[in-house]
Amino acid sequence: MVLKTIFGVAVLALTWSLSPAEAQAKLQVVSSYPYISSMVSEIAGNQVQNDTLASGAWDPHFIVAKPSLILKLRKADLLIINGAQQEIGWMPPLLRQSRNAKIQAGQPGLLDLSTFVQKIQVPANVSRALGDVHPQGNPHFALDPDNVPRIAQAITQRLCQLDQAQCNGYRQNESRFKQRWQQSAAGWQKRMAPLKGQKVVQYHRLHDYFLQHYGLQSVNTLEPLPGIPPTPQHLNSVIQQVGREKVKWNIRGVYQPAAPSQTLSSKSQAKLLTLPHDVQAVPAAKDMFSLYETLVKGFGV
Amino acid sequence: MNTVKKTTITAKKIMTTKGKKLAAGLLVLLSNATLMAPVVAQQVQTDEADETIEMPVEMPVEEPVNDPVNDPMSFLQAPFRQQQFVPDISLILDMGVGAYSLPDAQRQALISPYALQQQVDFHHAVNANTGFNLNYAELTLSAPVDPYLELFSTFHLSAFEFEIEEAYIRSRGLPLNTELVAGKFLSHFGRLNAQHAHFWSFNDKPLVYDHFFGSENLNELGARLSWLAPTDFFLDLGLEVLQGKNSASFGQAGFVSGDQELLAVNLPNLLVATAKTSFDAFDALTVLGGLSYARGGSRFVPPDAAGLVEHNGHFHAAQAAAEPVEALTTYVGATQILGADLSLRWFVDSYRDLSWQSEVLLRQSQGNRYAEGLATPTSFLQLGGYSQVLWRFAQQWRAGVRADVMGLNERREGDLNIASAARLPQTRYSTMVEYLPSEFTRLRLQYNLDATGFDHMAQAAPVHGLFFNLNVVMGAHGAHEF
Repeated sequence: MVLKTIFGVAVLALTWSLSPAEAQAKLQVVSSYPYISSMVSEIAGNQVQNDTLASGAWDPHFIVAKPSLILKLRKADLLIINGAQQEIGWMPPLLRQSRNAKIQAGQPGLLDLSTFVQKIQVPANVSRALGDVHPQGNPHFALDPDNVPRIAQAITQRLCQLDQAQCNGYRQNESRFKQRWQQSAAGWQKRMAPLKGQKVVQYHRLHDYFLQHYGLQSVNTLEPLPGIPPTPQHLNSVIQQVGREKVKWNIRGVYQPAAPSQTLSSKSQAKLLTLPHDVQAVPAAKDMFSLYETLVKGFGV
Repeated sequence: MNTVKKTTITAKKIMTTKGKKLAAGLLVLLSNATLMAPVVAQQVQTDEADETIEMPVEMPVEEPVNDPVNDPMSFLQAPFRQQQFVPDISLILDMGVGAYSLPDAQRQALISPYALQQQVDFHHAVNANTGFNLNYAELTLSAPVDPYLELFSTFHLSAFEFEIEEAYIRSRGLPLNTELVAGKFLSHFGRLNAQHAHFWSFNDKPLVYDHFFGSENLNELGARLSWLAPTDFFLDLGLEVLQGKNSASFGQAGFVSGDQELLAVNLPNLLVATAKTSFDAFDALTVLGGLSYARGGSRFVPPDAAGLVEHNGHFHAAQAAAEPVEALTTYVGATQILGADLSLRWFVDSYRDLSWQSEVLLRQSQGNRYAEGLATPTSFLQLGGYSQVLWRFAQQWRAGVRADVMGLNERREGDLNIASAARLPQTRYSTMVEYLPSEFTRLRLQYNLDATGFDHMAQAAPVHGLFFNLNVVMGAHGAHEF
């Protein structure tokens, strides 16, 4: 009896606090990563409720599936994901637990950005013997400046589909954003031009889209295979390669362990750059423009 | 968009030759493709070799042109291909090697005053013996069935057995943030009951779960309705209607005592209610708490003629009666279990976190014990729990300590209190360190000091155990919940 009463009281207390202000007019948009929500706010301003699941400073592959994220998904009208399996390690249980029919796979409330861009490094065959490979290609495509307008377009179209009343506004913001983006991209293109052909090693294949766009050549990673932390043998072979091939830059993402990259730069001429991969990965990267600006500035141009 | 124009014309041409279905499909494809900015013109050969259509498809540059998975026209070459409908399949293997400080036979004959029925249930025990152990292989298959349902199944394989551990359907897209599960599944009671063995933080699960639910946990036939409440904080409520065959606390079997026959129960007679809530105290600290309540009928049957006790379809030797506490058999009653759990997890960065997790379970039962047809009013009340701390201190390393405590143990038969309070509390201490060469392999070294057992002379017999376990997962295995 006592047990029953305790349980009853607890359930009552919880039901009592059901929030009445559930019905909100604004479209609730939830994005997996900060770069996506920053683009949502470029296009939709404050016309939508804009929320993010992951923190920009953390490894995008290993976001913790916290219950507070389920809460965000429960209310969502639209969930925008990066896709290409970047969220495979944390999104599926959240999506299931949200019990929100609107945002499940196949519904208009789920937008997978990766289907709107071309992926690089798509493996012809996959096996876990090759490490934690992405069968659909490198998922960090938002770091190619040419992909950003495509993402903007995909977001705009979906917002229009779900919220036709505001469509004109979304489209205006989109074209304004694209214009500004074009101007900024032209500037970055000019500044990055002298770096063309320079060689780079990375901790993980995180900045490949950026490097490829500006003609830099990524010759190796400190991880022997994707998802496998650097081993001393592999690190040694990279150090030798860096010396042999006159590699100029040594790039590390903000969330990756610092020690292996520091060892490499202390034993070679390659300059260590710790670069953001997402909006909010560093304080300076407040939106897509300042993210790219931070990346370009990182190379000293 | 020159390419697109051209294809529209070609598609019209096809409509006359190949039927409307194909053309409609192409048009859908086209309309999708026009929405996508990066359009790659690609040559696709139809089965009529002379007719080549140029069409825009979303296709990565490095993809081989003859890729059946991404080639939208591949159905022309293999019209009945079903390869892409293969469900997610994974196989998990767990094995261990190590030793106990007591010989296996002696250790397995030890008695814990907490085990009501005194039965030995080593069926799903991990590291049951000194030396090498094949603990289990777990095969999982899952996929959507249709737009409305998903099927999830786990098969527990041991050296000579293949069992359905779980097989249930799950609703897709029920309204009002609800979800319905039906079939054979692990109850969501408490923090750990629903977790599969490969997700446990230690090789073995807490003692209180072993005692209250047996080595297979509360795994029942039935249905579960869960609801994510529309509150401003996380509140997950669940209600389960279960058959109630779990013989560690419940059970449905009939038996004969003297000239009295107690008939078997056939209707579902176990109800479980759960409430879970969580919040982030700071960005980096997550708190998760839960309350669970189970209530059902209990039937503790006497051992059969061969001295065996049935447990979830398996038969085990009934233990000799523990002195001075006799095994509780031929019991009919109503049992309720209340569980409270609290977990705190603090995240330092992407690869490091410190977590504290504790759980307390209280079991209370009231009924009659039958002997030679006579019923004696009998009740028992037990309390147990555990507390554990885990420290993931690097991307590939994690260490942890756990303390298991069985506290309260009251048992009344008639006017007598027959439980032995002198042996309380009982404890087991565990510590482990694990290394993960990749996300799919785990090596774990665990040391246990188990002081819960007593030998047949009622002397305390602490057991030390040191085991090294390997756990690997192959194939498509879904991510885990928090």
